[in-house]
Amino acid sequence: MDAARPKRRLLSRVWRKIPPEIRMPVGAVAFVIALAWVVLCVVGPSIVPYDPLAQTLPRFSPPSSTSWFGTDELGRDLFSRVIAGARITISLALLLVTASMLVGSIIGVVAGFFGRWVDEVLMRVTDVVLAFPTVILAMVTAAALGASLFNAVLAALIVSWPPYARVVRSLVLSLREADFVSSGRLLGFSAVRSMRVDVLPNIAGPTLVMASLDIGNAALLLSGLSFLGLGAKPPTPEWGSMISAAVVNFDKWWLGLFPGLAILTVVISFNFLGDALRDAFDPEAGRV
Amino acid sequence: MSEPVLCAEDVVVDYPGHPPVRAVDHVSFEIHPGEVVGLVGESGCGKSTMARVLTGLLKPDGGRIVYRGRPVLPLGLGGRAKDSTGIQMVFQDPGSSLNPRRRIGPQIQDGLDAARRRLGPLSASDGPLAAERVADLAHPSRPDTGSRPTTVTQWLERVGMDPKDATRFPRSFSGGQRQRIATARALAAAPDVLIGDEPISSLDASTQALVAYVMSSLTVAQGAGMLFISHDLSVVRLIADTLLVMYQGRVVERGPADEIWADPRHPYTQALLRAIPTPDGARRLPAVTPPGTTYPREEAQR
Repeated sequence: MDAARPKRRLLSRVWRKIPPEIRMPVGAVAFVIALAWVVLCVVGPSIVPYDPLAQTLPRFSPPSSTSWFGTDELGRDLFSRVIAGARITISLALLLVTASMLVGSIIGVVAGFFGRWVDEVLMRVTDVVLAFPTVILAMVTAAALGASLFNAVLAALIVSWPPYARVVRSLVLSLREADFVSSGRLLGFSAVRSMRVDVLPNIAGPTLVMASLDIGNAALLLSGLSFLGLGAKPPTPEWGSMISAAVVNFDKWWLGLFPGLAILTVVISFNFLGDALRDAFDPEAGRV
Repeated sequence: MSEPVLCAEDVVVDYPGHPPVRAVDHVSFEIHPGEVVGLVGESGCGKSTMARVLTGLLKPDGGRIVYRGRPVLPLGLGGRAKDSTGIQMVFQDPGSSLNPRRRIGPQIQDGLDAARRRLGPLSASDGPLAAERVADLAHPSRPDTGSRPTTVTQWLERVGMDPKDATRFPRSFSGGQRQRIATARALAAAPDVLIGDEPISSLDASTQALVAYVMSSLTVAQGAGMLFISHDLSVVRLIADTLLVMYQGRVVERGPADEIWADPRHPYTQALLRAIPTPDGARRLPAVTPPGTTYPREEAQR
């Protein structure tokens, strides 16, 4: 089981450093921030003060009472763009995580279920993908597919499913030997029924926790691709591409700071939320 | 004596390794309807392996299992052959014998469904055992005296549980309760043979006797045979008619339980009996066998 667990991420290591007695309050704060971002993702574009695409304000004005985060090189309101960007980044991150979980789970279940050469082939493919540095492989794929948000998600999917496949496979393998699975088979369950009734419901919890841990990273990966010009195209208000545009005007500190803070809070809140969820689901896991 | 319902014929199981480990070494025995066979031996002597082979969960490397005259085929990707759901098993670990994500009602219902699939709409043409059950069910006048329960509620009552428990999840039950639920599930499938693979070993002493009694009495009341596996001879003796003693993959002694208890012939059986503590107030510790002691692997003659 342990061998299949992906390397512990930086933020999970940070989480372990938080004293246990304040982990749950920290998790609650993370939950509130994550929830706020999800709410903004839904209602954001309709509550922003300015049209995120309208180039009507003075250029490069610093943060003020009328324009909280300042304006960018084309006279667009940065606050409106950051809030509107939540919908793009977070919804795509959720889409990416859902897709990775589905693809990885299907591959993991098939490998664990059929075993033998099917397992061998699928796990070697998984290992090959895992062996590549994530961001590089995603960049290469996105570059090959052509720059667009959809292609960025596709490229990110190609590097994001293997951890799910590994974990789901190991869960299936250990559950296959569980007594209640054997007793279901003895009552005449076919292998498919046994999977559906006895195995899958019991791997759903850990898999969902893993997915919730992954949302922040998915947002980071997608923003990273956009930052490199491999995702969202101007004038789409996407955080990564906004930071990318800010690089040439680095003396205008507000251009990069606010989209950067948005990415930071999303990544940290979703990661800590995931860690808190995992602790809640499996209190033992945090102590190893 | 009646036809055996389940026979092990010269069963051999090897576990891969260097060299391979022979877990079960040419074991043969029979289980007859209404008979409780106790299988005892120390950990690692091949008892649980034997149980898995008998049910078809594990393919033997030699020999075969015959159930009602037909060989038991190992479990494949498809469902088990319809008629072999007549062999059921209760497992050792109460923590994993039930699916933690399902309410216990549907889990017992699985057993009833298996019985319905195998015995059809309960017609008498399925052989003498089915005929008996049909006769049983045809007497509503005696609902609770040996007739087979036909609903989840009846089964829960039969194993001494509250019918309201059907909607609860396994985590809300104790180990002993879970083993009784697992027993209800297995027996609801109307098995001809029930195999208990150390079903009481992880329960505390006060619950052991209850669960063992519930299992054996309900099994025998259905006219089914039973194989009760344990490392605890003192409990097995109380419910078993016949005893098999296994040592290093072989049956080293077999015979009526009372006779073996009174007059063990094989040195290993004698050591097992000496190791049972006696609560006689004399404060004697059971005999300790020095580590590394080996015994002959030949079966003792009675």
